[in-house]
Amino acid sequence: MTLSTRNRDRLFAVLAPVIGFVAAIIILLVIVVLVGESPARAINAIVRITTSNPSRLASVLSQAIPLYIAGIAVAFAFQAGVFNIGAEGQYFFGGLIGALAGIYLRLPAFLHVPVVVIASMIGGAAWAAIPAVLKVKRGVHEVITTIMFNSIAIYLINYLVNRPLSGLGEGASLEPRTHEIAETALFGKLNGFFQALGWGIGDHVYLDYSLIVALVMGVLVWLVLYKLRIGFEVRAVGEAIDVARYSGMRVSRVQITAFLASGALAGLIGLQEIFAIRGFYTYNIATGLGFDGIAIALIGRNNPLGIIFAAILFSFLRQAGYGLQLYTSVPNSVTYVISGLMIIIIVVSDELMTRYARNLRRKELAS
Amino acid sequence: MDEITKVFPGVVANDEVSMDLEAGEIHALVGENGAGKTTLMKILYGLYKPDGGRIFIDDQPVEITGAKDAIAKGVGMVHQHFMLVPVFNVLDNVILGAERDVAPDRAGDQQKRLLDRIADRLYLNKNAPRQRITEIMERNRIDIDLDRRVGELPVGIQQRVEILKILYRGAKVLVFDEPTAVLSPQEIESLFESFRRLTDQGKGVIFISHKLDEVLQIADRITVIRRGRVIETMPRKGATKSRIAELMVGKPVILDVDNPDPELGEPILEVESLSAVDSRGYDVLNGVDLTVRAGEIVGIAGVEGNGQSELVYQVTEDHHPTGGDIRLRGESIVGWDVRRRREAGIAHIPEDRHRQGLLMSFSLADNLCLGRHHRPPFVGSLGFRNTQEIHGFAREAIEAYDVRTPDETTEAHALSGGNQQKVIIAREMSGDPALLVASQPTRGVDIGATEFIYKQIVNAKTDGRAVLLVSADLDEVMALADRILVMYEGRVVYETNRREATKEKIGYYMTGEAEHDTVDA
Repeated sequence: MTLSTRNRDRLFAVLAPVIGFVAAIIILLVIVVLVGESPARAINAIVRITTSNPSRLASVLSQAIPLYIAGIAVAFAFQAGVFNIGAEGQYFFGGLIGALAGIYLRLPAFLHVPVVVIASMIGGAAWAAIPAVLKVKRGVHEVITTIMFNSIAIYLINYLVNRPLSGLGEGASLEPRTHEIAETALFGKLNGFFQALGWGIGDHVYLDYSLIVALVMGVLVWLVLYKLRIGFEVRAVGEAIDVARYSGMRVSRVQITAFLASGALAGLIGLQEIFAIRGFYTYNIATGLGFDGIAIALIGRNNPLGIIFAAILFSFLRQAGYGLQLYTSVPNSVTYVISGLMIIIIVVSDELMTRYARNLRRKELAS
Repeated sequence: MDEITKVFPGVVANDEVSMDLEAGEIHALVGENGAGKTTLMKILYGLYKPDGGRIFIDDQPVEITGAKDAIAKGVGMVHQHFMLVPVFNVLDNVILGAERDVAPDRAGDQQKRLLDRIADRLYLNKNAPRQRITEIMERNRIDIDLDRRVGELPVGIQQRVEILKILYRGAKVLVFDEPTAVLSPQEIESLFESFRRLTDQGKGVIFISHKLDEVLQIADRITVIRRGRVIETMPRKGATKSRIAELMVGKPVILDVDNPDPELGEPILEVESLSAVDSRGYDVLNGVDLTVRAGEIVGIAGVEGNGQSELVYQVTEDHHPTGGDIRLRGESIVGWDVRRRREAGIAHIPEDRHRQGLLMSFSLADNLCLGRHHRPPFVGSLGFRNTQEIHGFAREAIEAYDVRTPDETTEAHALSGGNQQKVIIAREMSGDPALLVASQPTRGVDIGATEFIYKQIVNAKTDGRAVLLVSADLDEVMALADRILVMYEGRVVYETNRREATKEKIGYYMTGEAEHDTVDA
């Protein structure tokens, strides 16, 4: 055998997403033909909107930031075997708490920005706390509670921004929203930094502080999961809860920790939209990011490195959809079909390859 | 089966294996784990496609494409883990998947109205199947209430439901994969009776087993396979236990362990009138008393499900007793969590290593530090894991406990059962425990590894540790334990020691005959 076992395992790990992506693109082109559009035009449209110039490329990256945070948030809970389907609600609520800290606190910028980040995390963790405690203490399944908490969050926030926290009248829009966030808490852009490095992106693209937050959180999650004792316990609980219990791990504590950490991370999903793009909190904050996080975590194998790839892939597809809508007669919704198919293909081929690699390994040892 | 070859990538699981089964014969298939018995049987049952060789049934070459096809061609299998629906009654279990095999009378079909015919097809008429099953039971002298729910039946009876299932489907060849593993000596006896009745009717039985005593008792011929090859097929006459064991492993094994008399120390574990209920609220322990001293092995014998597992969990995990006390070195440990118990010196070899013992997709290094992974030297400053220490320790343990693996980064699932068990033993012993609780320590482990594990358990004793051994394998308990306690229905019903113990006596108490005088079979 020419490949070492380890390298072969790595190759397999990379292969599944590549197969999924290629298959998804092929299926996309088949659909394009069925719709009666020319595949060449479709590819052209996709390329044009995603990679034709540095700004387009940077936009893909920009959109990947909240998706990445959503991915690692969900992944952290998954690693402990906890299905946090409630990233969506935790993100709404965490974002609101962060925004409130941005609106009502008076701090210098170098403090205010970290404070709103931490406030968002606290908000997200708080929203995850009740399902977490219910799961561990009462055995209520977290999928049920977190889904219900998503709805509670939506309507609670609807009420709050319409009534007690309403800042209606500020600005020109009539949407239900809060007051403006203080200047000191707003997220600046890093575009100048990238331009100085020679990357010719336009000023309109949002590569803001949330990119730094995402990267820092990615590194932290990786460190915690793979280098710290608590991360080992998290992964052990996720792998086999009976083994974890047998070896003396405090399983409930580990699960609560992972659940809260997941919620805290989810609280950060809205940073870019709230603090960089809008400057206030609104009921019309982007929906679905928390759910995208589930798919992204899955494709990224719950690994903070793999999730970088998965988030960019998702962002790419999203942009590709706009491109198709804009330049061809293919409807945007096709890309949602494609991302769904892609997830299935990746998950299935990943599973097949893991099994194949596992069998190979076993055979090697047996012979 | 003629010159069957099955190659998996990198390993030849069956290398031109030939074996034959005559009508009315019991043919035992023995070999270590991984020798290729299961592969061969899976080929016969149509679950694997052979890469070479042919299968003949009644001298006709056949190709078996799957389980359903195997059954149609007269091959049936009783799996080690029963394939029964616990909430169905016996009748439903037997006909499940073959509901229409015994057709109801369709003679008058033409005259019936369309609606009636449709109703006939939709409605499952169980009268004809019931009648046929009753006939089969009479012929085989099996007596089971067809309306009982299978989940309520004892294991031995469930096994008979499995046999019934196969007979109902008209099997000529019956394959039993380690059927005695879960049975008491008396149940084994009656299983063997069933074997004889089957062969009297001209059916063939393939009997896969680890237990050589049983093989010698029942088989007409014995085939030994090792490393995918048939080593020898011999008639029972003239076959001896040591000869078969020798053929199985390729070298003579001494399963009579060198087991010195205990040098008793202070009491380590004291269990006092311990009672407990299971999750459904049924009594599983009814006032158990026992003491394990330093330097002795106390063995618990008993048919599985008589409270042994619960006793183990009461000692090792934080199960709450409903009454009584558990003391370690005189101090009550009731209410302590697992970590505290482990730190106080309780080590545990779990009965189900896949479910409890190992993180299968984690490295051996990670697995070897489990239980002590949370404290120095495995954890350094700021809660960071000390990878160097973990790997260094793992390499030493792998060396010391003769774990066959390329290195410590190999994932646990890649190892054979015996080596996985060695990893667990290495981990549990290296924590220098005062009390070792070993539950089914050699289940599913080959002879070579079994011998090694026996030595480790005896070593634990001679090192002055207290050992509580729970095993369904009576030979194992009798070979290792200094004192033997028999559990039945949540109580210790009999106590003896190694010198005075006899199988008959222990078996008598294991099945509760001492209590009821009649056996429910």
